[in-house]
Amino acid sequence: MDTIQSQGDRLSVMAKCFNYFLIHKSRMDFHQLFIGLVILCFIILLPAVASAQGNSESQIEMADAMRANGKIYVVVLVIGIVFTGLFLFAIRTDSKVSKLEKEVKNMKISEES
Amino acid sequence: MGFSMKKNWWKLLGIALVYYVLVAGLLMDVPKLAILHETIRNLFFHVAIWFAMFILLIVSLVYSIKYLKKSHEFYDVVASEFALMGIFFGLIGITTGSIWARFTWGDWWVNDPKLNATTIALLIYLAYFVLRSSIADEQQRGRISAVYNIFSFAAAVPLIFILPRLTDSLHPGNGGNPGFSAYDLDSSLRLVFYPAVAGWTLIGVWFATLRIRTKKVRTIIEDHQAQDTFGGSINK
Repeated sequence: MDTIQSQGDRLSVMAKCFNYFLIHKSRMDFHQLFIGLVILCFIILLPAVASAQGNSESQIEMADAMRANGKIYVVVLVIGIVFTGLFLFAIRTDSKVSKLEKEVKNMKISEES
Repeated sequence: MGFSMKKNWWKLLGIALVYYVLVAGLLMDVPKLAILHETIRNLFFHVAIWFAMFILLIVSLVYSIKYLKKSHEFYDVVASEFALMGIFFGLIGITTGSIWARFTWGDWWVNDPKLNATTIALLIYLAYFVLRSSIADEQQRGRISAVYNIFSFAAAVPLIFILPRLTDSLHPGNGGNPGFSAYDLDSSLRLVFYPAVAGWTLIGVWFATLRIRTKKVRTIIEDHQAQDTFGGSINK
């Protein structure tokens, strides 16, 4: 019962996030959008992680219930963090390359003048 | 910052698709099948990476043909970087495939037509990079490697897609086995598989363009320096 309630809460939070995105879309840059995406993923996953930690003691769950509380969410979260790090790295590299491109462009223009 | 959403939206799309695949690919309900068990989820990673590799290699092929038409140096750079990214994906594919084989077929490597033929295709492509690095002259390197790239693509298609289908193979999609539709009775797997192909492809294209852009900047700087030294020596 608890999960259904929290699911409704999550949906409303997600709706608010989406609304915020629609309003501020034009003023957001790549970094903000990416971080927003990550936060959204966390909001979706957080209750699942909480339930994965609060495991039932009465019986030991095995592979069949892996998606419920076999702690698979922990793995998803870990992989998510790894990929977040890698993507942030790639985005930083991308912005550095764009800076270099700009510098080279300026170099060319100043040469011609 | 150098980021405009107009130019970079597809990178964010690629990231979003990969996140979707990571979460849905690990958590969704999958068909329960003997031997495969949960490893059927590798479809979203191993198989999708191979598909992405093939798309990147097609881009590389197109730019090699373009280079032969108009020997523009930029086309050569694009062709080589996309081929590199494609083969990088191929190496990931063959490593992940080996792990999958260990736990479903029982061995790290099985002498299977599909596996051996793909390895040959990858080796042909690796020779492309050896060939490139062994020619100093830019135009010669561009033309010879463009021709070789077309040859390797023409060799890779029958090696990966046609020859293994003519014989018996353990690998799904071969030996008269019509693709992975054999084990996907409900088409729910496709809901993650196709986004996975798109997502990994977009990430591959992004990383390839990063390398292309750095190379472009470097050649501009090198030209600039060469002009400086040349100009200086004339003044003396």
